[in-house]
Amino acid sequence: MIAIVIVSHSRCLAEGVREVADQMASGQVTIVPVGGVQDQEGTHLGTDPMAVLQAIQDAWTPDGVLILADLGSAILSAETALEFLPPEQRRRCRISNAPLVEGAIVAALEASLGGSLDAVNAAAEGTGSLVKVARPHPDPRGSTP
Amino acid sequence: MSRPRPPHPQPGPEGPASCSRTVTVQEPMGLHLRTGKAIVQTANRFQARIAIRNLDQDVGPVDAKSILQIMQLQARQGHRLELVAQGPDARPALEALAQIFAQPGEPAPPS
Repeated sequence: MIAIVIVSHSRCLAEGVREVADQMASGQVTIVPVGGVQDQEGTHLGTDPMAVLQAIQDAWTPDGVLILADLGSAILSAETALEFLPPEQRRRCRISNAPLVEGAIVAALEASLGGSLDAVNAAAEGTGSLVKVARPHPDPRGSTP
Repeated sequence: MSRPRPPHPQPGPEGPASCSRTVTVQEPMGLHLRTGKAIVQTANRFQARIAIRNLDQDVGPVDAKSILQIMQLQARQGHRLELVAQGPDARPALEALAQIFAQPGEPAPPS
């Protein structure tokens, strides 16, 4: 069964996404949240590549690790973390293009059903085109009701 | 808005060991994520191909084994969902799925 790493600028957000995803997976999937940067003044928004690397190693399984990140430097941190992994481990990691929350929910459930790394990632990335609110087609005349 | 793709191949009444039943969403908040999870987990225990169609929204059929597709059913309280299963264990699969929609203390609706 694959594992999942949640990377967010906010530690709270990463843990919240883990909470939701964990319920979808009925606690069967290893899901590791990572986020925020610490200095002497406390925790701030941001991502630390070495913390992401540690999260990947904590989550590690030979079946693979799917990394879901929020955006921007979270992706860069994940990419940097992968560069520090041995090539054989790096090959079994994917950084997903999925939206963080929706992707994590779907990935956790699919992973709990035993999906492969690529199958789980494909399902997670499918959430990117999910329609949440069905809206009527816009009026071609441009007027609003 | 584009409709979800039907499962391929699409189950139909003409196929072998195909059966269907219609259930009604009872939950006040509609078919929410936890119920979707239960459907996917249950459907994946069976070999049968299982499709769900929202009869009241004319959405589907979608694959009952995919949470992504189930979330596109837009199923609210009172909506009728048609479950169509095809395969060697189609009947027990529908029995198990119908249980999810049965109100607490009530038996699943008959086939």
